[in-house]
Amino acid sequence: MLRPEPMTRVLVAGPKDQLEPMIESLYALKLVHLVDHHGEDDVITIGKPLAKAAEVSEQLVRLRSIANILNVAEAKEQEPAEPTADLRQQIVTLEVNLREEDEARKRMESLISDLDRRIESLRPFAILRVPLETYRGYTSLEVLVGRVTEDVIGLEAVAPENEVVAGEGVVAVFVPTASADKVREFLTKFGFAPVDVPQGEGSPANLLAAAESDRQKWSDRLVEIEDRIGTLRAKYAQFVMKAEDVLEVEIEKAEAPLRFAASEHSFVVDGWMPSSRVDDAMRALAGLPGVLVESMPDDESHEEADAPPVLLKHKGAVKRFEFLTKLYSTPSHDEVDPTAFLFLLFPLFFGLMIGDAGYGIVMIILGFVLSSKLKDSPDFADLMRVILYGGVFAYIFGMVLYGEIFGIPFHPPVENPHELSWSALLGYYIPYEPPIHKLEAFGVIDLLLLSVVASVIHLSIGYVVGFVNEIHHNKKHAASRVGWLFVLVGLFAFFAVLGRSHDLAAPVPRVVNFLFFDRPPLVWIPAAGLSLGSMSVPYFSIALIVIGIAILLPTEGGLAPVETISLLANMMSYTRLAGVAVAKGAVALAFNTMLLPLIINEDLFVTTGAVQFNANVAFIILGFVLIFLAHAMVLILGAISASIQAIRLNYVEFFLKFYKGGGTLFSPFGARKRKMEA
Amino acid sequence: MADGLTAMAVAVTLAGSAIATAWAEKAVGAAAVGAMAENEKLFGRGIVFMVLPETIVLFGFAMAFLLLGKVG
Repeated sequence: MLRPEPMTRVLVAGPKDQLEPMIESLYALKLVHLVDHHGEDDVITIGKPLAKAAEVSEQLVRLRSIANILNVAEAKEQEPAEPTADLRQQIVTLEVNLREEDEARKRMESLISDLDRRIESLRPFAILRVPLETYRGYTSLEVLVGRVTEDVIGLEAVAPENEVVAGEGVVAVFVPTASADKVREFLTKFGFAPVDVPQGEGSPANLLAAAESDRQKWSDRLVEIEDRIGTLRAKYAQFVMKAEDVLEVEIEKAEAPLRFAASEHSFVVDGWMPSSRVDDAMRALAGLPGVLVESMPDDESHEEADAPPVLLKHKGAVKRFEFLTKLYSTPSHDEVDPTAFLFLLFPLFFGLMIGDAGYGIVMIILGFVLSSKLKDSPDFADLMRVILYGGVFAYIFGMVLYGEIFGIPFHPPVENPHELSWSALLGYYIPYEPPIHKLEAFGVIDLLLLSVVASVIHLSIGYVVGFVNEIHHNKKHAASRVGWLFVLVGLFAFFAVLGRSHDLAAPVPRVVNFLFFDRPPLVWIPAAGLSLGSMSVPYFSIALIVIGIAILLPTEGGLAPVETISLLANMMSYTRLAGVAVAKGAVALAFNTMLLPLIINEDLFVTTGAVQFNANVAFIILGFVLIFLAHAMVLILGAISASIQAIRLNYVEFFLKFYKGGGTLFSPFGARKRKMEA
Repeated sequence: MADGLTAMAVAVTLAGSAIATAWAEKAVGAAAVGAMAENEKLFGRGIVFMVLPETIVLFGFAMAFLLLGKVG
């Protein structure tokens, strides 16, 4: 679970006549991650595609053009179809049918757009009601026709001889050629925009009517053609998609030799496969005459560039967290795969930050429903499943640690006994005293101390895993992890003693103090220490940090003492657990306090604790609607910020202690996502 | 008087660290979105860099809270 699947290198060699059957077997196996052959010399070259590759790719091109014409992606109703053996024949027939329709459609579309232009150009002349031939054939006259924004007046001043035909928004001016330029300039004042006189003779209104009826005729024809194409789409969409799938598989197989090494009469396939499945592969390929399979388990002696691919092997719930690891980087083949840690720690941190039983339940339900509905976007489904597990912890922490449901605590804070609480609302004292109250001052301090504890546990795991990763590679780097662990425990000892001080410990010791600070298991840390101002740093702490730095100096170099400060910053970073928890609780409480007066009589509730509903039912309904919306918002924002913060603690504070990533994901020959499989 | 000053200190601490965080995230966020436009795979890294400056406001939050404990 903590290591990627062990890989074995396989070499398959055989005579050329076995190439095609061998490709078929490999493809069916879906187990071999091919290593592309590079480097050529006189004898060994890159293989040539199978003979059928050219034909298959031609068919694929035709099919894609059909898919494009049919617009198969938009097909809603589909008749099931199974591509038959003679794909080629089917594609040709479909193409012939479709090409005719497609050409007719294009013709119609171009006719219609020509007519549209003609209608547009005739329209102004239809308004003027003068036959079209009137505008043409003069030698001494200039005809200016165009659209205007206002009526033309005062033309006589520019051109005393003129003839004007005007209609609504259109004007035609007949003037002697000599004064045409002046008139043109004059007309611009009225927003004159010239139009060309269209072809044809006779009444423009009749011509317009003829063009419009033509257009109607052609667009009816176009609808008929679209209908026929639509029928073809419904009938063949599924066939086209399936056939595309089949052809893509064919072409992948046919072009596979490009990744192999080949000589004149033989070929060699190089690849990796999971060690546990080598026997299956041997058996599958053994039947091919003359084909030899050689396998050698990965012995870590390879060059970095030659590293085996990484197959993460998780099952069930942990598998859902793989995307979080991959989002950061694919693990490299020789390091611990952190997915299992994410599975444990991400929901834990998420739950600590949400810490509300009501939100927890909603997240569990939403996570479950969305992750099972959204099958076609697996990443989002995984995310929802992760939220579900986070919701489980949010519920547990909400019930057990914080005692809070939808922002309302079980009991009011000690400082403010009239605050809203479930005990008061229900009129029943909940017989459970949760260890941490988010709205009490000491509750927040407890949370801060808890964050420190979380940081030590989380970072220690990081250093231990880092040690395990490095021990086989570089003893010096492994030793530095031990040094860091000493510094970490030293810093923790300081916080442990600080947590016992009167300033921070609750008057009545509560769980966090009890568990971690002034009781076992940490009571053995001696409090005696060096006084620095008002702060006391335990000798124990100083000793551990000094030992740690002594280990770090030879392993990490002279800057190590400075780096210890950054470790302190890492520990402080975990206070976000407390920060988000308190902030989210406070926002929920604020909404509750603002909106509850709509539902119940607040004054009466605060003074006597009695619950009396608002006399106006409309206000009660409004109150519930607003409270629902407010909580939905707090829930969504809370889920977003808690998941970002939880993943950040893992990516930044945790992963940087041990995780390098940069591996290649195992993608075996033959495994491809099929469009139709969903 | 002392209480009042402490309370002011709490406010200044939190406000200052929050502004600092916002300032830093503004720059990081813009750059992260830019990088994501080039290569969508950088989303994960982008998110991580984006929330890095939040540590500043967390320090502010922790300090403010410890100070708040001193208000009588």
